Amino acid sequence: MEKSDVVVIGGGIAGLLCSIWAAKRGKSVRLLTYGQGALTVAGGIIDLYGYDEDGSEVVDPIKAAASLKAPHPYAVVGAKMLQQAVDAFIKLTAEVGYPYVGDGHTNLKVPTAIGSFKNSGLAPRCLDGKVFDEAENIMVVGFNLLKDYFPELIANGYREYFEGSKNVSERKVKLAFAQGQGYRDVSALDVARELDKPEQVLNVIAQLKPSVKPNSVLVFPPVLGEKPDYKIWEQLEQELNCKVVETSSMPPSVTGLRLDNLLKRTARDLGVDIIEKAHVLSSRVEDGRCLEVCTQNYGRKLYYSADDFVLATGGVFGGGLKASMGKMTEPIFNLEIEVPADQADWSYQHLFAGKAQPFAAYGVKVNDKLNPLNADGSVAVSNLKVIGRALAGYDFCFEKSGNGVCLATAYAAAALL
Amino acid sequence: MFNKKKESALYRDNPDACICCNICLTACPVARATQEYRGPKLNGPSLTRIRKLVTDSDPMVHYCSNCKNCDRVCPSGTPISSLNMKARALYYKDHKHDAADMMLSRNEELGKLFSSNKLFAAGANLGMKCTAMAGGLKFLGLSNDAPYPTYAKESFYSQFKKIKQPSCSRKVLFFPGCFVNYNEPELGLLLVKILNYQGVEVVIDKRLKCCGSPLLSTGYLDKVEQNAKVNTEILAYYTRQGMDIVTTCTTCSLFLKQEYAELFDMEKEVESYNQNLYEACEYLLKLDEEGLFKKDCLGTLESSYIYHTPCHLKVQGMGIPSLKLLSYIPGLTIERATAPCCGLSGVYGYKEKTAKISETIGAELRRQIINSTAKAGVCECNLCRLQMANGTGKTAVHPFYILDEAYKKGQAPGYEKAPAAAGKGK
Repeated sequence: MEKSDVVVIGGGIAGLLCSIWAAKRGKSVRLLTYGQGALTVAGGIIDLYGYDEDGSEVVDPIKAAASLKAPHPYAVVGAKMLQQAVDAFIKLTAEVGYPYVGDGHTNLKVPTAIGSFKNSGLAPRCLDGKVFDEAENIMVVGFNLLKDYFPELIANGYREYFEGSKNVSERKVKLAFAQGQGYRDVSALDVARELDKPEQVLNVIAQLKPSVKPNSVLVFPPVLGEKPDYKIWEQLEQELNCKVVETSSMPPSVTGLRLDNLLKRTARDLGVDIIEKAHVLSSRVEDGRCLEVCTQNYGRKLYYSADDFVLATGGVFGGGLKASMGKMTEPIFNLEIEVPADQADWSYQHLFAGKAQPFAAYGVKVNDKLNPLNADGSVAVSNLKVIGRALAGYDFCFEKSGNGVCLATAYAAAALL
Repeated sequence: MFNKKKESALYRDNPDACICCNICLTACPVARATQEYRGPKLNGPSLTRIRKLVTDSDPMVHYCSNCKNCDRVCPSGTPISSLNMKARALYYKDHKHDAADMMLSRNEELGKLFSSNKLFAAGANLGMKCTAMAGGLKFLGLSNDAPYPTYAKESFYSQFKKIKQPSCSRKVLFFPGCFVNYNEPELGLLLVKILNYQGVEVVIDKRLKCCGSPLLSTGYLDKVEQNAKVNTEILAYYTRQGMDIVTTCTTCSLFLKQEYAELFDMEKEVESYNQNLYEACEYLLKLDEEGLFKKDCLGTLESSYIYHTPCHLKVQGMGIPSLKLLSYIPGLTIERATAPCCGLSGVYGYKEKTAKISETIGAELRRQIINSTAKAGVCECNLCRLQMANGTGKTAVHPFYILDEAYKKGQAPGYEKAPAAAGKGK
């Protein structure tokens, strides 16, 4: 295969962003993906740093990240790089007509599907919970037949959260879905695809208009269109004369699909050569440099060579790391991950232990150029950068820093190429 | 270092590879088109677990079009569409096939018969057209509105015999597939001409059978396996002779390299030739890597085409060779359609039961082609091309017709003297 400047392995948010930012810097980029990344199941919101190691809420994510120590990925790339990555991401989303909000120095309150609020760094405008601050009335909008979304539950959550200071109600919208035995359950994605038909948006408006009071927030499930734009959201706000906000929700994630769609389209427009269903089996490393990686699915083995390689294959769940009893490895470059020999030491007895789990922080250790390190601290592959969840040193779940680390390390890797 | 066991090999026939993440549901064109389909995850891995315990006759098994978008997006390597096809075959163990199945699955026999004689072909084409116009196909369980291919007056195999090829040290076996053989022999002749021009001689073997795609879609799994046995043995033989194998049809290449190994216990058989198997554009790029592709002789074409990527190519894990190939033609503009699937999926669009869904799926691509400023469509897949030309007022061609045009325009030295008489673009 013709050589490219960079081969990025992995098509999740880290791999896509790194490809985009490397392409913007004039590199020829080939992106090898196997299956669609976790954006389809995750919400498309960017957690930067929600909770510190004691579990206390973080007020200023970037400032708090500056005090973290290596091997935390934020400490590896530095808070300045995180700031640049945040700015670049906001700019990127604005350029393609779906601007995210957030500046990295405050956490947004993103409404969830259980009537609570989640600390997150960056989110689409239609998920920003600040609209609740000024509102007197909250109306939770449900859809008949929509699965995994309970307006009553959400409304009760708000009654508790706002302690009676706001007037909370629920309202169900009916869309004509074929129903009964022999039909699929209706998911948020199905509703979003319905609302992509202009006449259905008008239908929703007509059903809601009579009951919308002045100074209201309408809380929707994430159904305001499948495409990354704000057309339906803006139309609803305008014609109902109120604020509208979407909640996060169960997979398949509509908000995640919007970001996935946006990033893939941007990458393609920038000339990134995306090879789908390319299962990377192994690499050829000579004298500490990677020369090529090999993919095979069912047909021919294909070899991709490049000057630089970026590994964005995710953690154990994403298949980027392989765990077995007392052992963990990165399978493409055969990097050994340092883990306790006794499996019992990998985790606390309780999953929600109130502190970061040891296993969550296992991953590839890197130097400040994101090159993977051997156990003795020497560089394993000098032209390889490791980004995203494959990195060691943090519990994204506990800290709420998952996509933030992806953003920061993807940006840093592209800048260091 | 490159000899690790493929992960995909571990998952054959195994529904438990699925972690129920539902990513496949977001990419399934059928689920997008109708609420009646519960989607790939439920119909495939989830219900397969139950089918392993009890006999199941869920009508859901008829909805999958085997487009393979679920397999493409699955992060776990679950062979979802194969599980769907096996479920359909299982259903027909104790249910009768309808007339449409019997007819559509016999594409190879019918093709052989009709393209054996120009009167037969003319009769079949006219008969098909008239019956469709009179709305009569419905009685066979076939759609009256779908774009059916027409039969050629003379099959590719028969026309191939008359070609005097230059004798070259490099030879490839061409797997034409039923469509090239019986419906569009011009494309086969063009392949011979273009490969001859690069110094490659084309060999055919008439013992090769249909890849099995229509048989699989209509639930005749046993017959697919019979064809697979014949084909894998022949392909392995030519591989042992040091020959590469080339096909213009992305469904054929998918079947030969993937479906056989995924559906049957034939991993070893497939591995005996799969490193030598190429889609035609991919093969020209291989020649290019070796410095043998005559790209300097391609003339300037100031024309524009809208390109649609066949689903069956996307899932093969090799990117899009034709786009790279066409980028060598100076002046040529290729616009990329972004619609996910043409919807036809062969049998799927022809059966009356599923034709409506097929039409809904295809609407987006049709809209994009109509709105495009490009003069025509381009696509590797034979059936996608039929769909692209259906109701758009534009033609759709295989990339080789554009290469041919560019060689002619560039007055490539010796190109027109190549003995293979290639037909005109459709």
